[in-house]
Amino acid sequence: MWVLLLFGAGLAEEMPENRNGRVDAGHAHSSRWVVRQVDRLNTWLLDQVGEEAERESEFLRHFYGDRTSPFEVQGSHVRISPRLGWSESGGWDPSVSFSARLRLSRISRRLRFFAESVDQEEDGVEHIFSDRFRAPSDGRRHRSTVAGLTYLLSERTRSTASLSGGLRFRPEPVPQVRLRGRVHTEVGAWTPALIQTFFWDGRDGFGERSELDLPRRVGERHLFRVATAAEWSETTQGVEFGQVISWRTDLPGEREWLYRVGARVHTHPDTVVDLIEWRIRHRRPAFRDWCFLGVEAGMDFREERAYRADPLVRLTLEFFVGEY
Amino acid sequence: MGSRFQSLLRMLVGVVLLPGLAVLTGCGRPVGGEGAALPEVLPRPLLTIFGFTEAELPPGLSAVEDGELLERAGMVENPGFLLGKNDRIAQARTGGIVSLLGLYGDGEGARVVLNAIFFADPADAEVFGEVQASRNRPVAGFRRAVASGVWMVFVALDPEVEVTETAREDLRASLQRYAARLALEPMFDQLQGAQ
Repeated sequence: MWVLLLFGAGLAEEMPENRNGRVDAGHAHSSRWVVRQVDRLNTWLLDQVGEEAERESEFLRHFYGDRTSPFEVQGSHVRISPRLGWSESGGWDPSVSFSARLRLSRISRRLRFFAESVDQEEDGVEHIFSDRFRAPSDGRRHRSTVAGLTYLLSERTRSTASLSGGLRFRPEPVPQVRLRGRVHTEVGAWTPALIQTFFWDGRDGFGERSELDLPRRVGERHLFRVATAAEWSETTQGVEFGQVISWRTDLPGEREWLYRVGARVHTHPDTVVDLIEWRIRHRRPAFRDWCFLGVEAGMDFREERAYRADPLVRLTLEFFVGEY
Repeated sequence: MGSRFQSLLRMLVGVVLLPGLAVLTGCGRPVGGEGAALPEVLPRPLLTIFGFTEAELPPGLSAVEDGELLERAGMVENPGFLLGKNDRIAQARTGGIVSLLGLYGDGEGARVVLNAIFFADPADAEVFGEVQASRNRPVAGFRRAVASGVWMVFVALDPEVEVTETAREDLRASLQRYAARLALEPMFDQLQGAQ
């Protein structure tokens, strides 16, 4: 882990041009490999269920093969993120997370494949706003991997709806289904969004989550955001509420600062604030546009620790390959 | 007196001489009807430039004239621009702007197909070249950068017709002459994969 972090820190410094060239070539090779795999998957799926419409003619494919499918998987990428965290309560905690988003546009432009690791503990309050399936919030740490397909039922300017189905590996596979709708509008400088999610987990049963996201641009570089979520499921402690207030400053060169405070509440058996947190985070490119370095510091105040301050620091590297 | 003579001279030059020259030389005459002159987007000389010349044709092959085959390939003439709708849509997705084909056969169908594609963005051309090279087809690829983009040329053998080593070498020799004429830079040669 330290090697990776030192490597990442080293990347931020100037490297000789020839070494940069080798790193660039290696990254380009990896990205093409990802795109090629998605292309192969698309081509295979197309052969199984696809339609002939809008493909090159049979004549051209006979002589040249299918030359267009790699151009239809743009947006497909893999993110790998080694992380080193330290907190007073947990000590050092190295981990690696990943996520993959693959477009299956040869089958349908609305179809996506996703796979990602989920670490409920690391996400903290933010986890309640997770786009994907949630792990049960029974107070224990949950690490798992989810993979499946998302189909965009509706993709309009102000509203989207999607249906996802997949498996959560814990490590045994558990089927999950999620129906999610999002509507947003503009009210002056605010762009409020209402997000409603229904989900079913083969082991934990049904649940639903309602979110109200209130982002507001302040000038060209700042984003103020208030987000609230309420979730009920067969495994939550009554209804769980999450509230986050954040301020983000975007700087030139894809650098950003984020300041955030958040709280999580559950209502059963008693209404209790079980987590309060604050964070300050800086994220910047470490190398080119595919390697980012994140430094995060903050404090958690957990009910189980009688709200004693639990300081933490995290260093994160993010590597992107593919068409990102 | 002198200034009156100069005015008269300017009038003669401006009103009579220059317009007369313009009419005689055809300058400013709109091409294809009224309005400003518009250059052709699919200029026919391209077909002659990118098609094989007599000297470049591999032995035993000639330009295919079978109308049904040309229609299957999405062409109306040979060499010709790729005009099939699905082909054009697919080509646009790759970043290709203009694509033309040349079909060459031995009387029993197309044995060698030449496809020249123009890309405005060199990055698109590079990716397209890599995609073509990754396909399991007997194809040789060439490129030439010009001021406004990159021309890519792919010459393919019929993957289902067995080709003798002599015929393959004849094609390579033809391609050398062809590439020399157009100053094309070889990218890859996978003609060996024809078997």
